[in-house]
Amino acid sequence: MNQAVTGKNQQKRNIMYREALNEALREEMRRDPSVFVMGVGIAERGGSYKVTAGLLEEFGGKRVIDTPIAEASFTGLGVGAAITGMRPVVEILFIDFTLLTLDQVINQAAKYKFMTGDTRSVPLVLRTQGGVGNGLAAQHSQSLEALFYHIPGLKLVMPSTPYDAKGLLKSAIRCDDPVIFIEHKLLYMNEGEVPEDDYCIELGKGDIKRSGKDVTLIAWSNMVPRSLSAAQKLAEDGIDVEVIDPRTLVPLDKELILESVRKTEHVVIVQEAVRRGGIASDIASIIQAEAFDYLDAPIEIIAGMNTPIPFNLILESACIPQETDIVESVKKCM
Amino acid sequence: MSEPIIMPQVGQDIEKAVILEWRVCENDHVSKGDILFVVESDKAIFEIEAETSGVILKILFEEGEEAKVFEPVAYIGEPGESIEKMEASGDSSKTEQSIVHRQTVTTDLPLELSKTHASPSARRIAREYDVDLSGISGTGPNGRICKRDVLNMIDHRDIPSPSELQNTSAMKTHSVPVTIKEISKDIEIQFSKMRKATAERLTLSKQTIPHFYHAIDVDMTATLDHRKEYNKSANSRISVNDILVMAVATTLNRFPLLNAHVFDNKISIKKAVNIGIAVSNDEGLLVPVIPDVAALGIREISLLSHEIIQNARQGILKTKSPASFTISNMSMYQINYFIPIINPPECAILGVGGLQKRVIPIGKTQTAVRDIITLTLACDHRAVDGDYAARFLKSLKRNIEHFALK
Repeated sequence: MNQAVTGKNQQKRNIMYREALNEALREEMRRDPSVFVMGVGIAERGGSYKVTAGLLEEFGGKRVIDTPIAEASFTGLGVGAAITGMRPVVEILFIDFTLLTLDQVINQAAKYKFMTGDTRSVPLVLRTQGGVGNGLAAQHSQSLEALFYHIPGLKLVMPSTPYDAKGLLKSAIRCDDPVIFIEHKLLYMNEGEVPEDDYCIELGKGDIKRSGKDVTLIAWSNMVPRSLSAAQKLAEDGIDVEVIDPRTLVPLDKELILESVRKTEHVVIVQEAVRRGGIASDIASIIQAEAFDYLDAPIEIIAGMNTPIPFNLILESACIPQETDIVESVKKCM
Repeated sequence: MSEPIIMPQVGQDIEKAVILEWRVCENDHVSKGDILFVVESDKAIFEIEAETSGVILKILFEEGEEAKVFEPVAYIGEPGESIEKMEASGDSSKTEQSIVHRQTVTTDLPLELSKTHASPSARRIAREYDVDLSGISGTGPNGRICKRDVLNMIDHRDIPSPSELQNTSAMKTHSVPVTIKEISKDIEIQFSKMRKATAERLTLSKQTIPHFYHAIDVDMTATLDHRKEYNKSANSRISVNDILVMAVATTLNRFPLLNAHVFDNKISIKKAVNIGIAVSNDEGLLVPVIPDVAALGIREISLLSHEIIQNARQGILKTKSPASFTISNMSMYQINYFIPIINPPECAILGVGGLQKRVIPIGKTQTAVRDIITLTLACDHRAVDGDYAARFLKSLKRNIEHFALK
């Protein structure tokens, strides 16, 4: 159910999520000389997750910049460059480290357009990576998207497939407003069909990853593949699940969600982040306000436990929604 | 502490409902969930469950009686408990108020009654179909009424959508409301018990009785004038139907073969003239009976027939006497005439068409505008022949046209 592809060369091929991101950066840097990337270990090393591999060779050290481990400083540098008309893509290796950049992001980047009476903009992309996986423990496993979701002036993108990753990163780079682009550490190696063409996915357009009639499962990032496999299990029990991936949380494709809810009248929202103060709760509040008469059961939210993520792998997986939890929640609301 | 058992509002805007049947007696011990009584609104029948366990202390209404909604119909409590206090508080002015202001009354009700747990979607469908949720038991989590329960109810009960209610009165069509996509298919509705009985009876009649029909015009002008004067002077409300009932009974005395039941190659002539009146309500046809009409005066006929017709419209038949002859009166509609189907095992039925102004020749040169009704008699040809029926109709015509009200 991918979006229409623009361009001519419609060859089919499967590449990894990280390769799709690499392709997006490469295409945008070729297209627009004001695009440059910087971050810790992104140039010669090609990034910890290999997203920027090969860019240094093609674009040189002035556009692919290794920085010191000083997130606040180089993010500020990116904000400044964006104000002058450049289109920086700043990589913060773990979302946990974006906490160091919050003044630059929240007080500067998010406010600048408003405080200059819409005469200036900050076309900054802050690429980072979050979520649980591989036992990286409490300081490298957080899902902090709600922090950015809460801030007016920021856009928030969380792709779940290679196709979406490429199309959304290209749109994010072309966007004149600051975009927080959150990848997931467990998705980088996932493969999927990605056209070689230049295509963009509009920010604010969600996607139906699986259509069904009985219940709407709303999930983003790594909870999407998990929800899809839960949907597969539920289909065996005769429950026809629709999986909606908003893809961008700000702006949120409210209409797509509401349309699905009006069809299925049952909603389960799956969120890797802890439940309290999370985006799932906000989406639930939108649904109950705008589709109240179409709810045949209370909205179920299945979310991470209220705890720092433990190092132990078994405990780690106990802390976030698993396939069986999703299956159970769906059955509970039917 | 004793608690009142409240008549639920079985349908929107319903102020009263009939208790069809009590499933419990006073002093019975009941458990929560037991069926206490059966209520009939003008649309459907509902079984009412006990909200709490206890002993039925007192039953306030007989079977067949109407009770106001939100008013106690019985009391439940511990064995030997007194209920005087409860009765004293239930004065009628308070109940009147309660019906008008439902918001205030709900706070006085036991919690289980005041709140129906239903999903918003179920409530939406119920609103659109005018379905009362209190008659539905929920199958969702925690017993919540969910959409499938309401759809199930609509599928299995003869409940028209609000648009159908607007479009039809006596006859029901089951048009598909376009607003609801889940039901935007043909709707199948199971015959209600009553509809089934009507269907079986009429099929039997049409398939086994060789009907023949005679029609005759009756000039009602003079009779209507008499009626008007009589009603004015006697301060009464004798209807055209009452006059017809009486005239038919009088005529039947002289034509006993038509006041009869036909079965097993026999004709059983009935001693009493029990006139059945065909009454349709939403569920089907009922034929309430005025027993032994020949022994009654016109005012008695009028009072009795008014009562039995009203009852029948609410689905209640009180008299046990079987009809020996039936009248089906459509004079209130603009029907010229219609051909009725015999109500077995009766031998004949009279169909009364609508009153019409007609231009009638008087003598050889003059005309006049007169009030005419057309009577159509259907007879069982196994028992009687055309000549007999024709003489009956001619005699009936004379008896109506020269009807004297004393």
